[in-house]
Amino acid sequence: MIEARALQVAIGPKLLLDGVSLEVRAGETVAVVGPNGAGKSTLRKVLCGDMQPTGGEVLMDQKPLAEWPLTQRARVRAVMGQDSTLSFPFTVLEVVLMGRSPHLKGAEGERDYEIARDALEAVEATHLEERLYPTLSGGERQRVQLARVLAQIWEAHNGDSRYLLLDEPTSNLDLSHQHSTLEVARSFAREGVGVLVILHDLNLAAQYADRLLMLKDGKLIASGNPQTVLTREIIEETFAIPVIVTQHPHLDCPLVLPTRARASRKMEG
Amino acid sequence: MKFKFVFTLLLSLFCALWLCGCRPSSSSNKAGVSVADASGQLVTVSDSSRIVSVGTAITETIYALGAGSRLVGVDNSSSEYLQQAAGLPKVGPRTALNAEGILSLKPTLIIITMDAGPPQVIDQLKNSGVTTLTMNANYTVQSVKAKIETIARALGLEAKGQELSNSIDNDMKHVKSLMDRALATPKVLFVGRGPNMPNATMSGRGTTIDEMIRVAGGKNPMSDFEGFKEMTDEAVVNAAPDIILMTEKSFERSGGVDGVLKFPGVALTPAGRNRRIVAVSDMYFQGFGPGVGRAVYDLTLKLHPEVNAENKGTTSAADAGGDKR
Amino acid sequence: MASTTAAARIFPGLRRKANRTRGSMTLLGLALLLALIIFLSVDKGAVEISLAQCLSIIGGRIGLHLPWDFTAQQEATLLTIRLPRVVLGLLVGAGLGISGAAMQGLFRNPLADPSLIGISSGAALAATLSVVVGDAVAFSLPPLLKLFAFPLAAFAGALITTILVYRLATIAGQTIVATLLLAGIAINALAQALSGFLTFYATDTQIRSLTFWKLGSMGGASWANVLVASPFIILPILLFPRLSRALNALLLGEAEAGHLGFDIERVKRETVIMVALSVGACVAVTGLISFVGLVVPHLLRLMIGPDHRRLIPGSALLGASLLLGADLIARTIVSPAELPIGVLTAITGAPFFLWLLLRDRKWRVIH
Repeated sequence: MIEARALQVAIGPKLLLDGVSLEVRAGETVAVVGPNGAGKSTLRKVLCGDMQPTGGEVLMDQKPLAEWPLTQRARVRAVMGQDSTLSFPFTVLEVVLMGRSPHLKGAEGERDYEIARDALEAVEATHLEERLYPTLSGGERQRVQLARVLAQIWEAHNGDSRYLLLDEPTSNLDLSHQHSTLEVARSFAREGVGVLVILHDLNLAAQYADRLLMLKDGKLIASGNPQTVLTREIIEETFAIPVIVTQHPHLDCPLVLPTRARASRKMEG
Repeated sequence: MKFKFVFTLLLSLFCALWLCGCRPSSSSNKAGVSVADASGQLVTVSDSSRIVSVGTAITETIYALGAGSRLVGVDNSSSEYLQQAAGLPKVGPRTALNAEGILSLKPTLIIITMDAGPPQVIDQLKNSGVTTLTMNANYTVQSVKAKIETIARALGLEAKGQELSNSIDNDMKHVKSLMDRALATPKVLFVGRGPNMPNATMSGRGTTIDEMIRVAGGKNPMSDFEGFKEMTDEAVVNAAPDIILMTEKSFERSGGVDGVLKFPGVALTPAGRNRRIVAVSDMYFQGFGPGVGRAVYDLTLKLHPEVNAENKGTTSAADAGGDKR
Repeated sequence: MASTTAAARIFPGLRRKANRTRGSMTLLGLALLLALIIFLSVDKGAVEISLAQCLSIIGGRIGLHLPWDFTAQQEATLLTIRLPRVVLGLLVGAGLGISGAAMQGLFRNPLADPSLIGISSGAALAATLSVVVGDAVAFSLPPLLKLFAFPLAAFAGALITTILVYRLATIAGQTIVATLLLAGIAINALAQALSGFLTFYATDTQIRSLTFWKLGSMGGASWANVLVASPFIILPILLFPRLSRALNALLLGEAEAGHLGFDIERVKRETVIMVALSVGACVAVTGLISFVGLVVPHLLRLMIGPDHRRLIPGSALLGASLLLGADLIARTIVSPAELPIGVLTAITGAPFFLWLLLRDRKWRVIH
C-alpha cells in the first residue's frame, strides 16, 4: 500500500499541496482528477519521491519512501512521467528493455526480451519494435514509454506488492488508444498491482477507476467511488463549468456532459 | 562477452608496448672532441659529416665555417633567410620539430638552438643516440664569438672559427672608430610586424635587437619590459624615439614609410615627424651569427648618418668580413 | 524488416541474438582495425625500419633474439620516439573517445564535446597557469610529483570547467543546448584571454609550452608522458562500463533514470570526475586536440546505436584508431617535418560538426 499522510508542499507563501492524505491499495485503480494547477503532478512527484514534501510523509508498504534502497524500490514500483525526452536513436525494443534495468545482473536475458515484447504487445506497439524512438509520433512515444514502465513491474518480485504511477498517460493518444491504455492499467490492477493514474478526462476516470480523488488548489475536495465524487455539485464547484451528470447508457458509471454553450446563452438572455 | 576478450587482448598488447619503455643501451664511446652544450654539459662529437642545424644563426655559422656541404637538413627559418640553405630538406618551424623526421635524415650531429621545441623533442633527440649539441640563444655580441668557437671545435674547424671570431673583433673595432665620430645617441625604437600578426610589436630589453641598438650607438627607449609587446599610442609617444628601426620584410608588409606612420603614436614622435625610418636586412635579427659585426657596422652607419660622409672608403674591411659568408 | 520481426516473434531468441551479434561484430571489427593501425603506426615513419627489424628490436627488449639486423639508430628511433608516441596516441585517442561519449550521455546531447564546450580549454588554462605561476613552486617538489603536477593541474581545470558548464547549461535536469554551446564559447574565450594574459608574464620557454598546447601535438611523446597519462586514462576506461546502464537510463531523463533505480547524483558526479580525469591527462600530454570526442561517438552511434555498453568500449577503440591514424598522417606526410595534429583533427572535425548541425536542423524541420 502506498500511503500519503497530510502532504504539504509550500513554495514561498503558495501551497501547492495542502494536507492531502490518500491510499493506493494493491489491486485497485485510483484516479486523480482536477483542473489545471490543482496540484496533480505535484502530488505524483511527491508520491514517487521526486519532490520532498514540506510537511507530511509518504509510506510504501509501511516503510517511508526514503528508506527504500533505490534498486529495491524500482523493482516494485514504476513511474511514468509526462516529460520523458529521449533524442538518441535507441530502437523501441531497447527503450522498453531499459525498464528491465532494476532486475538485471549483467546483460538482459531471454526472459527480459520476452517481457519487453509482451509489454509492447500490451500497448499495441509490437509493429514499432525496430523503429528508432526519435522518429515516432507523440502518441507512439507515449505508448512505448508505457510499455517500458509496464516491463519494469511485469512480474512480482519475490511476491512483493507492485505499484504503477501514471501521470496523464493518455494526453497524446487517440480515442481508441486512450481506452486500451487504461484497460491495460486496470488489468494490472486486477493482478494485484496498486495503480494511481492522473487523468484530465472525467469520463475516462469514471469508466476505469475504482476510486477517484478530486483535487483543487492543492486540497482534496472529494474522494470515493465515481458515483460519489462525480456529482454535478462537486464538478461545478471544482471546474467552474456547468455540467449535466447522468448514468452511462451502457456502463455502470456516471457520464459527465459540460453545458457551457447553453449556460452562456442563458446569461446573455 | 566477446569484446571483453578483445579488450583484454588489446590491454595486454598495450602492456607489452609499455614494457618496451626502457632506454636503449647507450652507444659506445668513440674518440672525438668534447664541447660544452647550452647547459654546460660536455658533449663528445666524433662524427660531424652529416649535420642537421636548427636555428638561423647556427646554420649561418656552419656556412661561414665553410662546412655547408655537411648540412643534411635545416629548420624553416634557416631555409627562408639563407639562400644557400634553400634546397636542403626542411625539418619544420623550429618550435614544432619532429624528432623522428630529423633522425630520418641520418644525421651524425644535431646542433639545435635552445629556443627550439617542443622541449620534449630536444630530449628525444638527446636520447636517440645521435650526438645532439644544444646552443644558447644568445643576446650579446660577445657571446657570439664563444658560440662560433664551440661550433667550430665540434666540426673540427677551429682555425677557421678563430678567424671568424677575429673578424668580428675587427668589425667591432671599425664600429668603435665610427662611434668615436658619432655626435649623438639617438633613441631607436624597433617595430616589427609578423606576416600574420594584426598588430605591430616593439622590442624591449633582453632581445637581440636591444643589444644591436646598444652596440650600434643607439638607445632603446623601451627599457621597462623584457621581450616583445604590442605597440600602444601612449608608450610610443612617451618614448619619443628619434628613429624607428624595422626589418626590410616587415617594412614592406607595413606599406612603407606612410604605413609605418599610421602605427600607434608614431606620427607624434620625432621619428615620425622627420620620417626617419630605418629598414635593415631581416637576417640581422635572426639571432647573432658570424655576420653580427657586419650587421652592427651597417646599423651604426644608418643610425649615425653624420659619420657616413666622413667615412667613405674605409668600410672595406667590414665589407670583406661580410662577404665571406 | 517485417519478415525479421515475424521470425523474431516465432523464435524470440533469434532477433536478440542477431542484434547483439551485430554490435559485438562491429566491436570486433574496430578492435581489428585498431590492431592494424597500431601495426602500421609502429612500422611506418620517417625513419625506415622494416617490419622484421621492428620485431627484432622489440624481441631484443624482451630477451628474444631474432635474426634480422638493425642499427642502433633504428633501435633508438623505434624505442624512444615511435613506440612511446604510438602508445600515447592509443591512450589519448581512447581517452578523448570515451570522454566524448560519456559527456554526450551526461548532457543528453550529441553536440557536447570536451573541446567544444570549453573543458579542454579549462584544462589547458590550468596547465598553463601551473607552468607560468607554478614554476617557482615546482622547483621545490620531488621529481615524481613534479611530473604529475601537470596532469593534476589540468585535471583540476577540467573538473572546475565541467562543473561550471553543467551548472550553467542545466536547469532542473534539462540541458539547454544553446546555453551549453554559448557557455562553451564564453569559456573558450575566457581561457584564451587568460592565457593571453599569462603569456604577458611568461618567459620564452614557457611561451613555447603554451603554443604547444594551443596547437596540440603528439611530438612530445615520451615514456615519462605515457607513465604520467596512463593511470588517468586507464582508470576511466576500466570504470566507465559500470556506469553504462545508468548513462543509458539517464538519456530518458533524470527523473526516469531515478525511477529505474539509479542513483543519478552519484552517476553524474562519477561521470564528471572520470571525464575530467581523462580530458585533463590528454590535454596535459598532447595539448588541445579537438573534435575527436565529437566525431567518434557519432560515427559509432550510426554503426551500433547509442547503447553505452557498446558505445563506450567502441569509442575507446575507434578514438584510438582515429588519433593514431591522424598522427600517422601528421608525421609522415610532410616528413621530415610534421603537421600539428590538432590542426589535422580540426580540419576534418569542424566540417563534420557543421554537417551535424545542418542535419539536426533539417531533421527538426521535417519532424
